[in-house]
Order: sequence, then C-alpha cells, then structure tokens
Amino acid sequence: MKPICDSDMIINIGPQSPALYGSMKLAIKLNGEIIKSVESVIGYNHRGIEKLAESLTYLQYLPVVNKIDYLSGFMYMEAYCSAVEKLCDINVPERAQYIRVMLMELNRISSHLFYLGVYLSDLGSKAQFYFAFTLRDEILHILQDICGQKIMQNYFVFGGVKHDLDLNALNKICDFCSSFSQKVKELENLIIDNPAFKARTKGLGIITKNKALSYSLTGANLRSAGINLDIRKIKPYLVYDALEFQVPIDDSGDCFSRCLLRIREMIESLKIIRQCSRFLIKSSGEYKNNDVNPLQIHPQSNTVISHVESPRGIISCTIISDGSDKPSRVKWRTPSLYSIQILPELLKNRYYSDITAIVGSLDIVVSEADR
Amino acid sequence: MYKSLLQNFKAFIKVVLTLIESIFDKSGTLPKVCRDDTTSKFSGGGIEFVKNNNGKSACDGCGLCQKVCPCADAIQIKTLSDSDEVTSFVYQIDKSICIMCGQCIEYCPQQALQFSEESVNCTENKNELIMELTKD
Amino acid sequence: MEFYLGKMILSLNLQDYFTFVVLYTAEFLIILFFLLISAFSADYAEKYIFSLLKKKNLSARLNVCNSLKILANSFKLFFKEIIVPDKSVKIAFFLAPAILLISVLFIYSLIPYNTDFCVNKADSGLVSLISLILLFSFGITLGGISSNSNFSILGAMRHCVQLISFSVPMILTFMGVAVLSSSLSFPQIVISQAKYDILSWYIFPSFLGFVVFFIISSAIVNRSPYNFSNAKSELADGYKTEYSGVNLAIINLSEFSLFFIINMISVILFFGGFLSPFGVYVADWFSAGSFYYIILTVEQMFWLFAKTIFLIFFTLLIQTAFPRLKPVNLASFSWKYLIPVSIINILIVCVIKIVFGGFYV
Repeated sequence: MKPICDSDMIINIGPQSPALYGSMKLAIKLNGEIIKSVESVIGYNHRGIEKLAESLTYLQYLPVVNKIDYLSGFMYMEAYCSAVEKLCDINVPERAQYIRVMLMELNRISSHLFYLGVYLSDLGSKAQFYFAFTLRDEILHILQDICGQKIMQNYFVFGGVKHDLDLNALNKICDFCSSFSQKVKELENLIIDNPAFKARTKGLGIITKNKALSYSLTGANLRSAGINLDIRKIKPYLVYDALEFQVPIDDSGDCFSRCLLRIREMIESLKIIRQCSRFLIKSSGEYKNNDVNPLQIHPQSNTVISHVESPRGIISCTIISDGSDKPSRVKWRTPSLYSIQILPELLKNRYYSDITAIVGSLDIVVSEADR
Repeated sequence: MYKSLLQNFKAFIKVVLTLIESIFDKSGTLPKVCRDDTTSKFSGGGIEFVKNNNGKSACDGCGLCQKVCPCADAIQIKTLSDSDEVTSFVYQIDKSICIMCGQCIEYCPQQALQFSEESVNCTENKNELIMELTKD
Repeated sequence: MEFYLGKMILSLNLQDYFTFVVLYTAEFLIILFFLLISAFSADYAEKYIFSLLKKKNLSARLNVCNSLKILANSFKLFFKEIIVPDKSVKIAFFLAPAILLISVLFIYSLIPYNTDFCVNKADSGLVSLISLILLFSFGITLGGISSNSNFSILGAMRHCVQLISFSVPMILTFMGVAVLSSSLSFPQIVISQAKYDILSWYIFPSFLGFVVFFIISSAIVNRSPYNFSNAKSELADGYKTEYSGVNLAIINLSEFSLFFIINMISVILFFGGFLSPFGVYVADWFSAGSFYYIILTVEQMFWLFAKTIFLIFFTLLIQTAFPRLKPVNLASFSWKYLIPVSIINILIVCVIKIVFGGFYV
C-alpha cells in the first residue's frame, strides 16, 4: 500500500516569528516530526555598517558603533575606542579604566538576564521571564542615571569617559550588588532545579571539542565544550589583570550546561563590580585624557586590531588607516555569525520540538550577525 | 524507576515554594512609580537652543556641529548674505533624521545647544519637525 | 430553583407545550450566562497572576477599564472578516468550532449548581462526561486537519498524542470516585459527600486520584506544561492558525470555558461540590420559607465558585513556572507512571470502602 504522504513537508520559521530571535529565516524539511535538513537565511538586517565607516571621520563614526548590537553597546564602544587609542598613542587614566570595566560588567549581566528570560519564555514558562526582566530593569535604571539612556548609551570617548561618576550613582550600585546576589540564587532555583527544564534540555545539542574549534565558536558556547578560552585572562585589556575573578568551564556540551555557565558568569561579574566600586569610592583622578582633541585625529597609515570579550563571544575590530581623517577600512568580527553556521549540523535528525531549545541556547542576536 | 519520580517531586515542590516566596518579596532598587519622573540631565526628548537673558542664542554659525554629526543632512546652515563672513544665516535641524546622540551638544564651543524635555515626534506636516533659528 | 422558575412560568398561563419550551429556554440562557462569566473570569485570573509576577503598581493595572478590555477583545472579533483558506475542506472547517461549543455547553448542563438546579439529572453523568471530553478533542483534531496548512496539521497531530495519553488515566480516576459513591450521577455524588461535613469529602480516600486528575487537567485543555499543540513560539498558533473572526472567538471562548469547567468537575468529585466545609449555612438563621430558600441557593453557588476559583489560581501559579514538555515526554510519563498510580488508587479506595463502610454511602 502506498503511504499517504510521499514527499517531505517544508516549513518556514520565517523572518517574522513569534519567537524572539530576530529577523532570520530557517527553512526546515520535515518528515513527520523528524527534521531532515535545515537551511538558514540571514541578511534581512543588513545596514551597511562597515561601509559607512569609509565616509565618516573617526569622531563621527563613534555613535554608530554602539548600535551594532542593542544588547552589548559598551563592548563595541570599548573595542573601537581602544583600537583608535592604539593607533594614535592615547593614554587612558586609571579611574576611567575602572569606570569602563564596571560598566561593561553591568552590561554583561543585563545581557545574560535578557537571554535567560527570552529562552525560558520561548520554552513556554512565563514566571522566569518576568523575574529576569524585572531584575534587568533595575540595571537599566542605574545606567540611565549615569549615562542618560538605557540602551545604546554614547558614553565612551577617545581617552576616557564623557562625564564623571558621583557618589549617588556609586551608592546605587552598591545597593544593587547586595540585593542582586540573593536574587540570583532564587533565579537559579527556578531554572536549574526545574525538572521540566532539565527534561527539555539535557543531552540535547551536544557540541564536541573538535567541532567547536573547527567552527570557531567563542564565549560560553566554547567553554561548555571544555576549552578554557577567555580573552580577559589570556590577553588582558584595561585593568583585568589586577582584578580577581574566575572563568567557569563545563565538560558536557549540551544546552543545559550553556545555560548554567551563563548564570555562573553573572555571579563572577558581580565580584568584579564590587572590586571596581570599592576602588572608585576611594580614588580621585581624571576621568578623561584632556590632551586629546577628538576633532583632529590624523593617524599615520597603520593596521590595528583590538579584542573584547562580549557576552556572546569575542569581538575584534580591525582598523586600516591611510593618513587622512577618515578610516580606510573598519572590519568587525562578530560572534553570532559563527553560532548560526553550526545550526544545520546540530539540528539534523532531531524532533521538531527541539528547535527552540537548541537555537535559543546558543544566544544568537541577528542584528550583529548581519551588521 | 520510582526513585527519580520522588526526586522530581521534591524539585517540583522547591520550585513552587521559590515562586511563591518571590511574589511576596518586596526588596529591590526599582522606583515605586510605574512611570519614572527622573529625567537625567544627559539626555532628553529633543534639542533646543539655550536662550540667554535677552532671548537670543549664542550660536554664531561656526558649523562645528555639522562636522561632528554622524547623520548626513541633519544639520543645515544656509547663509543669507553674500559676503564671506557668516553673520546672517538660517540654521535647521531636521528631527526626522537626528538620532539624538548628543555630539553636537558636547562639542559646540559656545555651548549653545541643550536637550529639551518634550519632543514632538508624530506630526502631519513635515515642516513641524524642523527646528529652525534665523540670525540676522 | 427550578421550582420557583416553573411557578413563575406557570403563572403566565400558556399552553402545555409552550411552558416546557419556555422553561428549558430559560435554563439554557442561564447556562450560557454561566459560560460567559466563567470564560471571562479564567482570563482575568491569568492576567492577575501575571501582574503579581511583574511586581509593579497593581492597582493601576487591574482597574475596571483594563478588565473590560478582555470582553472588548472578544467582542471585536465579531466584526472582523472570515478568511477561508482555499485548500481547506469547507464543511469541516466551519463545523469544528460548532462541535467545540456544543460539547462545552453540554458539560455545563450536567453540573449541579444547587440542591435543585441541575438541568440534566441523568443517572449516567460520568459516562456522558467522558464522551463529551473526547468529543472536544475530536473537534480540535477536525479543525486542525481540515485547515490543510502545515502548522495546523502538526498541531492537530500533536493533540492526538495528548488524546491517547490522557484518556485512560482520566477514566480510571473516575472509576475510583464511582466506587466510593456507588452511583454515576453528579447530584448523587455531591450529596453522598455531605454525611460528616469535611471529613467525608472524597479527597481523603482517593488522594492519588486527585493528584493524577490535577496533572491530567492541563493536558485536556492544552495549557502549559502540555501546551505543545498551540505553542506560539514553535508553531504559529497550532490548530488555530487559519481561523479568524467569529470562528476564532468561539474557539477561544470554549477553550477558556473548558479550563474553568474541568476545575469545577474536580471540585465536585473531590472537594464536595456546593457543600460548605463547616456544615452550617448562613441561611440556617432564617426560618423555612422563601427567604431561606433564596439565601441557600445563592450561598451554595457561592461555595462552588469560590472553591473553583481557588483551584484555578493554584493551577495557574504552577503553570507559569514550568516550561512545556515534548509530546514524547507526556506519552511516556502517562503510560509508565500515571496508569499504575491510578490502578493503585482504585485498590486503595476499595479497601477503604470495605473497612470504613459506614463513613461512605
């Protein structure tokens, strides 16, 4: 007897989808509920950011940089600013370095909270979504008092930061630290001990060491496969070599360990913020290098690379200058692009209901993959 | 087989108790009011000129803001006279292009610009979105 | 209550046949009113739980205007255009929402709200309930398959997996209750829990049965954690994808009403229905007469709805904390664990009935 359906069914999880990844299309070939092949299409979010840099000066390009990724604006500004500072030999005073590190770690916590809330909301539970986003709201209010905006803050400048932190802001940050360390434990109880979450994600989407290295994954995706690679420890920038913190690693490469690692990274970031705020209360220095005139930057022709560890992986910024006041080429290496490339291999021969669990655990932000 | 059921049941009870505890937990640093009234002095809804005591602004048409702005055609300065010196001009900021980054406010030598608290973003006529200053 | 309703209609002095029709139309309208109220309150309870979790200004979020928005949202669907997909089977496409609404209305007519008011006092109420719940699932499958689009067919097939895994434990649980009360009709089940106030409620002997039914109740209604047939982030709305306009309003209405009514059935079977836990009513202060009768009817209905709403809040609180499971997980969990547990429950119930014979009827 001939079977009822001969050919495979093609389903689009399209560029507009109720799940909150971004504008990315997955064309899936299904046979019953088993996936035969997946094809991912990106490019819906391309804005030409690398091409824009060739027509703007160094100072004009600065507000564009923190709009590449809406969740980790400070990391991109740090990558660009430190590359230009390397080009022109600009010194950053110590107080400015501590302020930059503290704000970047706050950004890392808020990005991980966004990831946790969205991941669990895609899997179907709402309580953790509201919990994580209420916590993230506290951080955004602190950032609004310091920098003026909640996301896409335009706060770093060549040679330091725009304005100084006063004691009010530091008091708020200390209050936040003391209340956050208890709430992270509650969040951990709600997520890690959850039997339904474990049944959904354990043993799924396993990435081995060799596969992770051959696809050049970085960040928590790589550390959950067992390789210890963190730019803050290998090539420390700013004041990371003077701070005490650990980098969590795990051995199994599945979705559950990726989620667990990001919760542990939040706890380590909290330690860094505490050390930085203690330094900032005591010290009094300059927050900006006053010798620099950002309106006149004419570097010589040179090539410079800078690396930063962002919540999703390693960001690199390469600037090629040719002596004029506009850069000749700016190249960005963004980590989400490599996480998208591993998807067809991870999803093969799985059930249809595993898609949200696997895609959500890799922490993909499509607007930084498309640039 | 039933051991794992017991473990799962204990974890289930723990999750429910944590949830109930977190509902009644009032600690945290969020402001109490839903809509916060604190407008930071570092950002705002729109851009306006700083008026001194006579009601005039200190802008002299040097054009530095135009060189610092990342958007093309957001700031336009049109001279009204024919001579080389810029003494009478029309200064326009097109708010439909402006991205509110704040660079023009920071790098103006006369500090003639500041953030305003209100902004009008939705109009029927495009001319209402252009902030204009005429100096003679 | 039927007594007073019948008296009012008889005083109109119509012919025999017409009084019959008018009586049953009046009862049908009362049940329709209960259905609308219950759908509204289930929706409101869900929004209340979400506003508790957000921990912001509660009083500003749940005032009168915001809660009437729920009614307005379903009312506006009556004016929207009905889009019929081209490849669909048109007769089945329009029949599926009707089947859903009819089965839910039937269930509403089986329930005793009062010592007198039960529209359908059938002697085999439990058996009809089983067949009506299965009819509801049949309506969902029909609606999904007849839409003939990718997402709807996937959603309908997933609901079939749910169907084969919840039907057997549900029937075994009902058998435990039927053993205890030696009858299958709902009014008799409630009255036989009235002997010793709270101690003779059926939750104590058949506690395992209540646990099984509590787990199953969210599988019957497609709510999380068994939400996979209308999961918004995997399939765009599941079997409801192609419906718009009045059909969508009817499907949403029947889904929320079924959620309410399953909790009400669990209250009737295990928690004593409309009986008060103290054994005495406020109406006992008044002497027998029409005043006493009115207060008694209102009070018994109040107890029924209060217990249901308490159970709904508890169910909703648990549902927000757990992500949804895969269809494979539900089927294996149900056949490996729930069916043995419900068979053990029947054995325990039989033993208790033999030992404590005088306690239960």
